[in-house]
Amino acid sequence: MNTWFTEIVRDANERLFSPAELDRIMAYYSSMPARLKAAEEIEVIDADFNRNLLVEMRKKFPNRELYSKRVILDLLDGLRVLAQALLMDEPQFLRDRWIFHLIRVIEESGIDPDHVRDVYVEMGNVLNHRLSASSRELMGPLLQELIESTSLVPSY
Amino acid sequence: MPAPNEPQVRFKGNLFARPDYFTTDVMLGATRTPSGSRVCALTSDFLLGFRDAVIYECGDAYRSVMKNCGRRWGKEFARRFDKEMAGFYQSAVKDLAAGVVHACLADAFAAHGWGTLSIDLSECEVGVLQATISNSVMPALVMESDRPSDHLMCGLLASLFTHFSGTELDAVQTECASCGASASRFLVGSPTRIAALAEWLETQEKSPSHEVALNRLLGNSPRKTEHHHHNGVPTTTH
Repeated sequence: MNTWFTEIVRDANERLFSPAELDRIMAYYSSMPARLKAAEEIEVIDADFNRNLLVEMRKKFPNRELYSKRVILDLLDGLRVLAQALLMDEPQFLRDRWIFHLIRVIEESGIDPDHVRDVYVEMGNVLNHRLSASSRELMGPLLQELIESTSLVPSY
Repeated sequence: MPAPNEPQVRFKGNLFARPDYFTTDVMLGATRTPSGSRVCALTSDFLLGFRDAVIYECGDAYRSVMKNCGRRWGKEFARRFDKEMAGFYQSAVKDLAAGVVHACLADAFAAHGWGTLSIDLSECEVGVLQATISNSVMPALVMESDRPSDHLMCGLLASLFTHFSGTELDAVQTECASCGASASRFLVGSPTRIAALAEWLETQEKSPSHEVALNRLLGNSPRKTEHHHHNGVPTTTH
């Protein structure tokens, strides 16, 4: 996929940027320090994220088999994709790289989507607890989209 | 905790949507995937020219020649898919849950521009698998035909599912966009049953619908057989 920035540069094709394009670029430019800070904060969480999440999920739902070490470790990849989407300010990247695939795996594997939703909700709780207010604000819409995507699959 | 031998459900996202999945070295003029496999894009002109050349050289046999080309292609693709999945998941494909493998296959099809693949396992119990490819390449190029034209994909699917099931399987195309259908549809099963169905399809004046072909195949299906599922792929032992 092309990011919004690539699209603007390609469309402009050596002409001057339009006011709307300039506004978009400047808005992104001014949000860059906050985005970098959020990415740094996520990197710190990254270190002990999976161990804490695994303990928490097994404590809350001891009978659910889905929460294996591997699955929880995979969530770390999801967190990194979230951080990349946040850095690029490109929600479509999150959809293409993560959400569409997630929905398909849930559907085709016959997993209860609520079980997947719960683990992402817990991931959100960890992030809300550990990120600063500005980072939470940036991460919020992406995380919400990720959590809500699981409700696109019918429950069993 | 899942049992150690239970198929693994994994959530690692779409490997093929990684921004660096296809990397082109402009100095070397080579495009490679993360596993180092070299890939090249074939233009519509090439594919149509290739098909015309095979028709010219082989006459009526061109369908089976194209299907065999697809088989060869599928065999190589399955090998690459296995290697890349093993690298990505740190697990062999056979250890992954069928849903994960199907999702990854569909991702791979989409990323390579071969269309959107969906797999229907509802008749898996009787050793029949159904596959649908929307926006498939060949029908879009051939545009109009009185018979299905997706022979390359038919061979590729036969090879792919043979690889995943570990038993010889064949495929037949039942519907095709070049015949006015909305997508290419295929039936995959044991070579004898598929050959019998293909022969019957050949004798029909007007191409029957996918459902008619499926019913014909199921009508001939030996339901009281022992079935094994490997990555959600039917392997029937008689």
